[in-house]
Amino acid sequence: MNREELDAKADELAIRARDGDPHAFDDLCRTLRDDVWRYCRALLDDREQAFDATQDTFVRLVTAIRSWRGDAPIRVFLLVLARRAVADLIRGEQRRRRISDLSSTEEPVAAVRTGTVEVSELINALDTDQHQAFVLTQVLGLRYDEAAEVADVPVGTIRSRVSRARAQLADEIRRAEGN
Amino acid sequence: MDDEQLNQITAGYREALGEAPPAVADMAMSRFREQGRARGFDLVRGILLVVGLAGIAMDLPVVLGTSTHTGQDVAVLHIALAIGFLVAAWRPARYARGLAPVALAAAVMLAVPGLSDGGATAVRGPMAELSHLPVLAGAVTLALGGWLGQPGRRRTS
Repeated sequence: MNREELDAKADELAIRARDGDPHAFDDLCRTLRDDVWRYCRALLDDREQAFDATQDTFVRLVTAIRSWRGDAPIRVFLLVLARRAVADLIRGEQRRRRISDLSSTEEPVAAVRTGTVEVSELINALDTDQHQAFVLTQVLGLRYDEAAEVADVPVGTIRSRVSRARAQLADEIRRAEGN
Repeated sequence: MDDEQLNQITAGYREALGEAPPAVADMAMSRFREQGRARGFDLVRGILLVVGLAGIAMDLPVVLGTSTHTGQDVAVLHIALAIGFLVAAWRPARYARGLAPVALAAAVMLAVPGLSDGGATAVRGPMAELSHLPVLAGAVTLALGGWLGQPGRRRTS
């Protein structure tokens, strides 16, 4: 199933879920949970935090789905909720750290080797904004305008962030392969 | 970086991010169902409120007026049930389950004369039976609200 078909199926389920159909809501969650998970996991690194953020995103959807008007695909709408959930989680974590001064137990995404380059490390090393733009457009397959809506920035900003991320990745890969 | 290389990189990264744990949306799914039930619950409470107010409005003039003694007695019972519906709408978890069998019994007993003396009812006209309508509606609402089958509250002492 390509992205357009996935969005069409998800939107159809969302319309039924908005009307109160619990089975449609279940199917909608199952259809989109991998995308939300990957987005949260990419932004948060820590697996438990990613679980919490993904879970929080879907819990927010329970009430928020009534305000979905269908202007944008439900996937985009859900990823906007995910961005807010991630932001709230990071803010909460920062507050907790300030209070308890606990050291973080970050568990970076496992490195995947493509050729001789550890891709995940290179992508995770991107600037946060570039990383987000890269994940939204390349990993999740959103259009630039959709990614802009999720990230809450103009389309041009997304375009330039993706371009810079690609350039930086290309440099890093060249450098890594040169060593 | 060409597109092929980019695709290779993103595919590898997507694989590293992995798939969502299946339980990640379970809480949301159960909350969605709870929310649906709560909406139905609010609707039922609203109906009980309307039925209770309508019952009082219809029968209070009879009690305060100069009807026959029997007519006033029936109106008093109607009002008692109507107040019961209002109380059930106010605190359904506490009162609705207890009221349901009483209201259903009253509804059935009020319907019996109307059904058995069909000719007389036709002479009096359907308006004469209208005063029973709030009781019937309240009883049906309580039954449809599921309170007959709802487990009772348990004392924790």
